[in-house]
Amino acid sequence: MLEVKGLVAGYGKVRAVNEVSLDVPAGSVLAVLGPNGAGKTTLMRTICGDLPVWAGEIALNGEDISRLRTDERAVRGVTLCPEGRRILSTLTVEENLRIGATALLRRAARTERHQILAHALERAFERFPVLKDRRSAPGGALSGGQQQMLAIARALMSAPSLLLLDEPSLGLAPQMIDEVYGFLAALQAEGLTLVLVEESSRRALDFADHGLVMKNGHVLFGGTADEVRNDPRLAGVFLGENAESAL
Amino acid sequence: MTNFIQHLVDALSVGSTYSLLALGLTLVFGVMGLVNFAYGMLIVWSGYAIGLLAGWHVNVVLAVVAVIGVATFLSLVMGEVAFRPFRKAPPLTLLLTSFGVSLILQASVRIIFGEGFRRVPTPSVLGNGLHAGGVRISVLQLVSVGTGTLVVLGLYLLLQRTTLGLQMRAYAEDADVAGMMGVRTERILTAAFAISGVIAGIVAMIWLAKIGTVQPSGDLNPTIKAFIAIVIGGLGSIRGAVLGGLILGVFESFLVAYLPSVLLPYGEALAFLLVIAVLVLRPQGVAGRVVELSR
Repeated sequence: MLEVKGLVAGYGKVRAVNEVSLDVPAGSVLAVLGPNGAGKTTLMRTICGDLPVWAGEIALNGEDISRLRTDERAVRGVTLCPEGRRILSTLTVEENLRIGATALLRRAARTERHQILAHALERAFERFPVLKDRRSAPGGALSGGQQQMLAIARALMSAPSLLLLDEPSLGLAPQMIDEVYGFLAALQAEGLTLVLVEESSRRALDFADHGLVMKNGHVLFGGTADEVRNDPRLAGVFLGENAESAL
Repeated sequence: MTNFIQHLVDALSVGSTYSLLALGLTLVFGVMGLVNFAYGMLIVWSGYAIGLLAGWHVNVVLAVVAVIGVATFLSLVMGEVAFRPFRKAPPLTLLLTSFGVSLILQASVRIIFGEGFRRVPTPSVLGNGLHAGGVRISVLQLVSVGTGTLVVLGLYLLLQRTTLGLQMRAYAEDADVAGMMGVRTERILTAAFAISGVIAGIVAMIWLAKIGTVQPSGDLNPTIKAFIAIVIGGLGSIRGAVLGGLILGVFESFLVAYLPSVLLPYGEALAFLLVIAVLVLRPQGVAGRVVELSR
């Protein structure tokens, strides 16, 4: 589904991602782990097109998408649920969801858009009933947990084939994290391909099929989730961070 | 009492024009964080366009459409050529660019049309008036309040009820996220400059009908009025632009009416005192929130 080869990217003159390659088969879940500053967020933003590719290639189902604009990649099925949620706070919950459907509607014929949007909204409200109750509230008025739900729901509105999630559990209460991972498990069961970025590794590795560990912009090692979990180098990566909570 | 009502009518008429001016300026600010100081040149160019069209004896309806067309075209060109390349630059770069654009547009007016005032012909019917209980309301005043109301209503419907409006509001708050969701972000800037140009063309006709002449440096006054209005109302807020324009109109009209004649020359300065007062008491403006392009 997603093939990244020798990707180099960054901000300004800083190379935050250096020669990163990865391969995500359709329907699988990849967890990208690493300490703060490893380049995980840059990697996600470059895959979705928010940051330019300096070198290397990003291919989606064999098609090179590395020169496409962000919105064109979204139309092809790549959607990022960004770090910090980035809810549009002055728009209502429903308007946030409608914006999320933009890529989906661009794939549809003009005459069918109205119906497709109505159906997608209905689906989102079934999946996240709390959003239905608050559909007219400004996005900024939701609690942190509700905002994370909205961020995931909004990303799903585009009916992505590849969903990138950047730290979906960041800043959430443990109970809320359980709920978020519950939703992700349901998406996995539906066959959606997921790339998940988390700093703390245990939860993500339990959930993922494969893992990839980054540090200072490089891939240190990767493999099946079990291989990564049992790799003695994993503890070293997080040493000095908060090794115990990470494992 | 009659006097008071007369001043109120005048204030509404002036205020609605300021509100219109402010709308065109605040829309582009809301979308890309640019206070476009070249905005007033759209009015000046519209003024010369009116002069040419009148000289060619173009039908009034056609001329109105043509003037709006000229302002929209110029606004789009400045958006594409001067501002799009800097859309990710710091606000100061955008601000300086807008001064540059303004100078270029002004110099080209001087080269093409020369220095000095030109009369802007207006349909004579605009000068007619209605009298009711000692209060005089001119057709022009009715037209300016009516047009102001229609434009505000139209813009509100566009932003709140259409997909383009939704996408513009999303882009205004977080352009990157809008792109990630599939919004064709390059079209949003085009739309903002187009709408700003349409509004500039409309307000130009009212503004110029009121002052009757145009000159190369005639952009300064409308730009400053629009700027004061959006600062009072809250930068980037549609409601703020409307309120700010009306407040400025009321303030100016009543100042002229009730200020002792010795102080009248300082009327402009007093308008800035109002701005300072707003900035001190309510820095986000009367209707402003921190970031928005909304009601």
